[in-house]
Amino acid sequence: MANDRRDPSRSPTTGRMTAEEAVTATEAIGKDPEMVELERRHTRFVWPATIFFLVYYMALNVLAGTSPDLMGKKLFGEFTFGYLFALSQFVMAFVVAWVYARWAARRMDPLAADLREKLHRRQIREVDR
Amino acid sequence: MSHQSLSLTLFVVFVVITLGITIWASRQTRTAVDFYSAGRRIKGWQNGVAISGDYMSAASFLGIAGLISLFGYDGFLYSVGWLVAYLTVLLLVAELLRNSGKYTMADVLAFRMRQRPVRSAAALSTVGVSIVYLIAQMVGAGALVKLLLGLEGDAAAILAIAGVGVLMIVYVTFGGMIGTTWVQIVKAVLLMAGTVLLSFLVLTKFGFSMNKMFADAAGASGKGDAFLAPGLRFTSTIELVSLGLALVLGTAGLPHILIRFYTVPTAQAARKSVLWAIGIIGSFYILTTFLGFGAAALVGHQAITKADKAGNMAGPLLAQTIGGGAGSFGGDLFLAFIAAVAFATILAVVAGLTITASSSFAHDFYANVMRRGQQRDEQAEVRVARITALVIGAIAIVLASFARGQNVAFLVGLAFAVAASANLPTILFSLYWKRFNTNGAVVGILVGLIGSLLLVVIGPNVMGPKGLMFKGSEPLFPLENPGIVSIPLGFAAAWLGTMLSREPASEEKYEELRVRALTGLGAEEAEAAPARTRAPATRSSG
Repeated sequence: MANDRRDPSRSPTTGRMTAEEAVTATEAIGKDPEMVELERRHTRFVWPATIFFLVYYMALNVLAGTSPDLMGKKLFGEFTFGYLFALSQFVMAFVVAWVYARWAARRMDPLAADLREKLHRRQIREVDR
Repeated sequence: MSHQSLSLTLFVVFVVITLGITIWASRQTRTAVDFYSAGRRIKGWQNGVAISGDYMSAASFLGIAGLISLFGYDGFLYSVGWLVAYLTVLLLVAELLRNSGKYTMADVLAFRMRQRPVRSAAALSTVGVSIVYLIAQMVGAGALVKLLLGLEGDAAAILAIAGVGVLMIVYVTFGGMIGTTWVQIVKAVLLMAGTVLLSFLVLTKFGFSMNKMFADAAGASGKGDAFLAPGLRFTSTIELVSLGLALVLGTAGLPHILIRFYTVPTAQAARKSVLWAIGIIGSFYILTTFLGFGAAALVGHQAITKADKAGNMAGPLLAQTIGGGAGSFGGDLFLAFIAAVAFATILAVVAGLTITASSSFAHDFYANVMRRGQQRDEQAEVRVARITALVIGAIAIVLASFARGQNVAFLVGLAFAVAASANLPTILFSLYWKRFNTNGAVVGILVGLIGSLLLVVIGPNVMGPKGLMFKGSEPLFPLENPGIVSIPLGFAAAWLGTMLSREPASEEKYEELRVRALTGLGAEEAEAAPARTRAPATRSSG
């Protein structure tokens, strides 16, 4: 899980920036290659992950409707395939959440912190002028 | 001591503790950001516990246990859907929403679009979804009081519903978001403790063999092995897919869950709070196996349907049976404890829903539409929110008295369908689609909201032989949960509404929104805690 102390947006960098300043600043940062990269990474992770869990989850509902016999098949003892498949959804959710959190902390947070830092420097330059 | 007076005592203890929290919170609540968003000082893990408290409602505790106890496997499908739904929240919505909004769901839409139309539409759907959700909670409260006090008839249930309504108004009007958050945290801890204890005791009854529990449940149900397989509640694949879609997509459109992300200081804290919520909520839903199958095996179908025909009382009855049965001291004590936990559950959820609906009305409709966002008077805004809490509470009390006798999980499933149809399309499009505009947002919300509600009204639960009215005719719409039609309808309406008009301003602001949402630049900051009495939220370390 994310470490609060490392959390860059707690730093004075954005703490001093008003919303209005940020608005003008974001226009400049929108075309920044780092911002483009941030967007690209985000898109390439969250949408495939979303499609994966939706397909895995809907498979449970579709199988429950179309193949009650398969779902009722006892794999060991009284544990049916359907119940174990349902339990596996919990495991799937825990794993996807964990992978996402690790990925975001490594691939998103540093880049976002960089962009905030960059913007802050740009503003200081503008004030100096 | 009879179980009535025992449970009343336990319940009163909970109410006194939470009222104490509320009074403490009212002293912390000075500004509008305190009232709406707890000053954005809530820590990630605390918010995760509060989200769990907000989410695990009477539907989860009373409704799912009831469905499993009556229909076996099919009931467990609710547990799965309501957990997996958090992946939608985590991956697509939570962090971006935290960075782009301020107090309400509509803030995200209003960032790019024309304030007045989108805020009006979003306030309407927030109030609509919250009221459907509230009705379910109050139905649960009514059934519970009837069981506890051993009362017969409708007057008792209506009185219970009214009592819960009055309490929630007190919590929200005085405590605001700080009070609501702490009530939810206390409730989540109580609910988890009660559920773990109950599950453990169920297992002791079966010599710690889940195998034996399943076998006994299947035997006692009279359905045999069919009890352990799908098909007793849902027979049509389309109905299952429809429900599944509503459950998995609904959470990310629930205003009362979404606004919880404004109470934390950063996007990282929002992410952390979803992770905590997934852990807590996931553990709870796995345990519903023991509540449901345990009740089927130990309490039995007849006793469950006798107390409440929709099965809502399976959990409390299970507690009574495990404690030693009706009339025994142990049985009464444990029933009283579990009933008090269920009450706490309902109160906390109701408080969360009410503050959401009233915030949206005050902030979106009163301040930004009626007053046109000019001369911001935050005191007046908070006053309007408090009055709205009162009115919404009253509306929900009246409507809930009509919905008595329905399963609570089923009713909440409908609220999820409405949320997924009306809110999710506009939230996703405004965060991810550059071309999206005001027209699309308003059309999407209205078509999704009205469409899903209408399909419920002409569906089998309101219309036709099994419904509330027109019992002579067949329902016009065959599905109980409208999700499979109304969710695509909401997306299609939002898309079509967008394509029929152009709004360069919205497209220009998209880039700004993306920068802000992804990096946190210019996002709302946490407020400093009041100087003299600092909230425990800021003192304890994460």
